[in-house]
Amino acid sequence: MSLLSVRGLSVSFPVRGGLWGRVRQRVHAVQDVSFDLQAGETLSLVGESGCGKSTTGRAILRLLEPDAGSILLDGAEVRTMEGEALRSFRRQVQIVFQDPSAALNPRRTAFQAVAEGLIVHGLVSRASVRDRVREIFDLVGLSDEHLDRFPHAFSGGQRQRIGIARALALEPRVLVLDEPVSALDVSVQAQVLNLLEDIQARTGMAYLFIAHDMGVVRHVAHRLAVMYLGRIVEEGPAEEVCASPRHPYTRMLVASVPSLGERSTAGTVVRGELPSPLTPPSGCAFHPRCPHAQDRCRRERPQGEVVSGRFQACWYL
Amino acid sequence: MNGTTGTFSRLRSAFASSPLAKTALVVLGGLYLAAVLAGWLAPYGMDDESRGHSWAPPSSWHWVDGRPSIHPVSYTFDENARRVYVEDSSRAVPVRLFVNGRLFGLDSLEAAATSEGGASARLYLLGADARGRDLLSRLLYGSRVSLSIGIVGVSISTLIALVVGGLAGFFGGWVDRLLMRLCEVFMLIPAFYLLMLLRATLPLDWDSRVVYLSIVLILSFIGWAGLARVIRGLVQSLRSADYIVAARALGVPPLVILRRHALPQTFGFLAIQATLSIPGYVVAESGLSLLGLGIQDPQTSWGNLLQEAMSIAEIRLHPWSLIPGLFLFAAVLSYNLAGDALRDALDPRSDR
Amino acid sequence: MTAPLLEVRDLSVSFGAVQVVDGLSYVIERGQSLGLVGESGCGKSVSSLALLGLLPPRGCRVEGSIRLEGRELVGLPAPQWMPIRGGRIAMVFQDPMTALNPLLTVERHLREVLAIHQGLEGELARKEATRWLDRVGIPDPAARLSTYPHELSGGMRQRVLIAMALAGKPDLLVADEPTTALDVTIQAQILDLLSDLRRELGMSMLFITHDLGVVERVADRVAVLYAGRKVEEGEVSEVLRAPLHPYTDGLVGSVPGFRPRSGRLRSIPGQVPSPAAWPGGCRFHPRCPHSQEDCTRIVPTESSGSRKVACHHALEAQR
Repeated sequence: MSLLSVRGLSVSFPVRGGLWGRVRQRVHAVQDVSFDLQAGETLSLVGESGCGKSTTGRAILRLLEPDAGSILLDGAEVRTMEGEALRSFRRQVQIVFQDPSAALNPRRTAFQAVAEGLIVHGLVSRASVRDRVREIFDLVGLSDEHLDRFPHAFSGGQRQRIGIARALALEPRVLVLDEPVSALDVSVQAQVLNLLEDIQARTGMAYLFIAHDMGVVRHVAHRLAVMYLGRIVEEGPAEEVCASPRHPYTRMLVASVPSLGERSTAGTVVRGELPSPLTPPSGCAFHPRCPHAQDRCRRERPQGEVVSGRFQACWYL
Repeated sequence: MNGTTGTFSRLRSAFASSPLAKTALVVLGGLYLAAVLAGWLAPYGMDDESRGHSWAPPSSWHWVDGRPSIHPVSYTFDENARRVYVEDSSRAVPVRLFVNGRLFGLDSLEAAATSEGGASARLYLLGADARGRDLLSRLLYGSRVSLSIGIVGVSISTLIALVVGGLAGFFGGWVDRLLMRLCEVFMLIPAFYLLMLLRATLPLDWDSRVVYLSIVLILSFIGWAGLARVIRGLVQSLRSADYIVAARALGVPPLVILRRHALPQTFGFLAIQATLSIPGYVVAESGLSLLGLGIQDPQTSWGNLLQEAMSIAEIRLHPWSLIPGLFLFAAVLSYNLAGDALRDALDPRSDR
Repeated sequence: MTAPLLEVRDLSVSFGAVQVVDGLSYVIERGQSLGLVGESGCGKSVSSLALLGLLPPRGCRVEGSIRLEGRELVGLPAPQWMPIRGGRIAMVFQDPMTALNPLLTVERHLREVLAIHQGLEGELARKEATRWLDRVGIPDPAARLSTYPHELSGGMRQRVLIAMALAGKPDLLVADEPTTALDVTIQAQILDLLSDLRRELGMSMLFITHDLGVVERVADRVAVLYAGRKVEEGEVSEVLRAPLHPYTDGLVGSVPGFRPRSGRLRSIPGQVPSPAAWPGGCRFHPRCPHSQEDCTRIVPTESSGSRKVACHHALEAQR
């Protein structure tokens, strides 16, 4: 049994208007997304802005109400959890955000930020909260002198460490990392990526790593799910997908990476722009940008199939 | 750099760098101190009348035996049957410090002795009103009402706005829609007519303290809706802030998140808003009292005192009745200047 | 020998007591593309604003020399800047969302530039505007003329901004992180577009970025900045393949790159210092794995030649 199992997850947002805020339309941000996450594994959700990767992460954390699908943690349905079960779920699944300066309340010290979860869940006695926070600070490479400072006194990389510390305080089993390094300076990105790697090695935590940077993803992920306009179009072992992308969109994504040294998929044309999720294309959502698109792609949406251990959703592979 | 620099030092530097704002603070401080100490600073009681001194002009000072003194005055009538006050320069009554339990004034025994011609001595630094009451004393007592009404009113309306706006913005959905429609209903009520109506239905013989309270309540009742909408907007934009989402993911209860993480972010804005809206209350009270809807004689407030200066003819005959207007002006201007300085210090958008 | 297109000598910029650029020198020849690489606060954006005289006149001091074909730009009075900005040196900014006026159509934006720098009006200007939109790869250019910025995607807006920058026929295009706010597939398109246009028009380019991968795509030469100073300069391929300065080396090692996972990333310890608290001596010494006693005291001077490095213990010697 997988640690976290997502089946047929769909999330939509209402577009409201009028005096009483009636729902005029719904934007389908995530549609029929399924994947499994094992303990100690890093699964990366990759895609461009608006592809639904962050929404998927928030839905798993029950910060958003999905329309359909199921989210199972250790086989238990998360969507219907209440009371004590929900509290325990909150402990087990945590999140780290992209922008470390927005992720911390500017009026509360680093200690208060990290201690909040410990206190809410009563994980340690009041008297030993500070000692526990010290331990966690040590784990993420911050020192005691940082405890009582406010967020503005920290650099971006240090703030991200506080954000990670806040999540780690609850000793979660799944950590949703929502673009955790893309707002950081290059030299600091590597520190944070290494830190996350160390923590995973030590705790066996599972990471759901949401990112747009294929370079970072290839480095951190064990498995990779590529999303386009709310759906997963390709999924498989990270190295395989990166080295030999199958879906035309994955190939385009790989070709776009400004890489150092090699340029693996030279010749792939990167063209077109993301369509508006309000008016998604018919059939396969990628067909207006796809160099291989044919009539069938405009009419029917490929359901996707598993071919030699990799999921792919394309008619012509 | 340690993390504790912040609001306080920014406030200090904002006020230190602006002489206008500093002056405003000093003026406000002086006014409030005077209001608190009114019972000691004022030479007479609030309703201490002297029919023989109706509309007596400000007393003129004389130096007799090396100390400031005033002469008793008596009156005759001019061709229009108006009183004309004449000083009796044969007698001088010294102005003493610390008499009758007050800071300064005339010794009651010395002042009580009437000279021939019915001249009696009363100290009118700013002149007297129709019933011979000292304007300065009434002004000082009146500032208690005028200066506190703004603070109490703003506190009440801010509190209502914080609760209503906070809940609407944080929970959204039907809570939000219901509360916001309610706000709009309140904003639609023509405030002035409501005031007239409410005041008209209230019994006139109420104790002045009750009247005072009812005015404050009426004013804040009207004032909260606009503020609540702004707070709702602020909280709504905060709701999607990552640290609020993080708190939800940690399992912090919603009301705790609202109180601990969302509402404190609006305090800077509220401080500015409150400072800038206090003058509105001060002016509104004056307006109400001026129209006879607010504080009634013998109780006093600045607006109530200004009632005496309603017609040009009155002002020409006794121009000192306009003096409460100067105080009102000084207070309102100071509040606005202080509010601007506060905005410069607290509003992050005004950075550099 | 004719003067190079752009020659920057000992450029220093300070805001009040805080110096953000310290003695920066570089040369851009005609048709050449220079990448200016560094992390936040290294002074790369500020130094490029100085090229267009766009730094605030009050509270900001610019020293040193910026010569455009031998003509000194530092200290130039405001009216003389007008024909240079947009006409000789044009700029493309990072955020295409705020760089266009939301109340004006694409046509008005382009015609403004054409009127100022080309003196074009009326039907002629309209034709030229259409041609430029076509040139930057906007589909159905004639129809797009009448659209407003909010109707365009981020990528399309950046294309419009590039068209505006190029419509003045500048000799030098300054591109300040023009693709950072865009999605990766769009970024790839814009980078290719810039490279193509540069080749076609024989234009020079100063490309400012924090992304080493991007530099490799668009630049011939690269200058690496750290804490307001240039630490290394040379041909892009050489610098990225065999960095001489430990900072460049660390930076290259920090980027995961698009290659199979190969152990831990070589991160640079510590934090990027802020301009108010730059260390003495070599500014990189607190984070440098090769730092020695002299690094803390003496500011390293730059080596001469086309491959430059400012380090007491440059890496080549150790290899």
